[in-house]
Amino acid sequence: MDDGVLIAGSDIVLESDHTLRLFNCSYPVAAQLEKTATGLDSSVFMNMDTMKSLFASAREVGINFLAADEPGGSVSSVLVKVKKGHDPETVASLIRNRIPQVDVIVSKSMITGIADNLGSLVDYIQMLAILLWAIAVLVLTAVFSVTINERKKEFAVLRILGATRKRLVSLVLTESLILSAMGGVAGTAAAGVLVLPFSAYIGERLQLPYLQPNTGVVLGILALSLLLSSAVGPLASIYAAARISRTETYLTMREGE
Amino acid sequence: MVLRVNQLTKEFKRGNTSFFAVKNAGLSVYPGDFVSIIGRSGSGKTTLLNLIAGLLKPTSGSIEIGGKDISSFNDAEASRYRNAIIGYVPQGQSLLANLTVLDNVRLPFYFFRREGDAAKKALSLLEQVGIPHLAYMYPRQLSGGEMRRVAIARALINDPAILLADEPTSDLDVQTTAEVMKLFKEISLSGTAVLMVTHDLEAIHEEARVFRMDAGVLTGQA
Repeated sequence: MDDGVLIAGSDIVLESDHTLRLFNCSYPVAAQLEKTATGLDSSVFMNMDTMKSLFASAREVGINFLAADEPGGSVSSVLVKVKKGHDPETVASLIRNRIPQVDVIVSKSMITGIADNLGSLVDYIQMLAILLWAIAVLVLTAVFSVTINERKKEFAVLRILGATRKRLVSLVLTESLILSAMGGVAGTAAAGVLVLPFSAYIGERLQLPYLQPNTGVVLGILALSLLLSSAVGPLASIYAAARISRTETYLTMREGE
Repeated sequence: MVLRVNQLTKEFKRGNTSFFAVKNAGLSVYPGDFVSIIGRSGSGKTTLLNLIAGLLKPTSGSIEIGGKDISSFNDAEASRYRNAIIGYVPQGQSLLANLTVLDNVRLPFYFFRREGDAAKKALSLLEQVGIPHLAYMYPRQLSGGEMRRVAIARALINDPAILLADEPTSDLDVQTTAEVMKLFKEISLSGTAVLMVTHDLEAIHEEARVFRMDAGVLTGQA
């Protein structure tokens, strides 16, 4: 990172010329980070020389934000980037041995808590989704069974006019596919309208970082949701379709007499 | 000959006892024929009609159409036969409520691949049965007699060799009954054989060949 240049978190509001003004000094911003929904979103990153310059600017306007006079003496943390092929745990152990007064945290353990929380939440959500999907199939099986039964005479008339049993099955499955696909489109559209604009609020309420997946993942999730919701109808109507195709037409017409 | 029914028998089981709904029935129908089968409720008329339509399999005997015994047909063959060779006018209201009159009439046209303009043909049939002005109405907007005419037009959409009608006048008044009978006669004169079953003696056309059915037994001209 060059001297005098900053990297800003996603929540930092930049000037129109892509700079950030701190203590009456303007700093060019080389890049702005993606959202993490953590404190990193409102942080600014710079090298040590820029830090010293910023500290001096702050003191000129009467603000002394470090306890020590020299910023170099107020370092609270140092990021150690381990070269490829070296084990971060081994490096951490060596640092602990050589500088006992320093706490060493390996990055993986820094995010383990968040990852565990997110993992549990995702597991619960997945289980809930599977449960809801199974309930939807069961409820719709009952609904389709009742509605197809109500339309028995209509199917009997179609048989009289020359519809094969296979055609009746196909008719019922197609109708249910269209209905569930329409429901799927409406549902995923509603989910998109609710989730995308309110992602920050959701993260805040969950008190967990909310990372918006990239476009490919979002589209994949939408496609999977549509596929699963569209499959509900045909799955739920298989029983009703099989039953109506086995029904004897002459008996149905007699029932209607 | 359009239809030849030979020694046709249908046996049903009710609990542990069995009975014959149709017993050794024999019947021949020719092009342009107008045949009426009369009999009381439960005499086996509708069963006979369902056997001829391929909706029921006979216990024994044969039903020949164009030299083929339809009792040996599988579901696809029987359905195609019902769609192309037979026009069936079921008892009571049999129109699909969410389709217009025109769509109801042309519906059987689309069950199998066919050439031609179904809408044009359906409109022409509606004209033939005297209700072209009702083409875009829904069944709930029609009277009983009008619905019956639509069902007749629908039965004729695929130019069947024979029209089967099950109690076609059961819920109609005397005047409408006479109109429907006149229509059947016109259809038979155009070459399509008409075979109707009824318990209504007033529904017998004077020029029809009449058979009687009693306890499953079909007897010659009444």
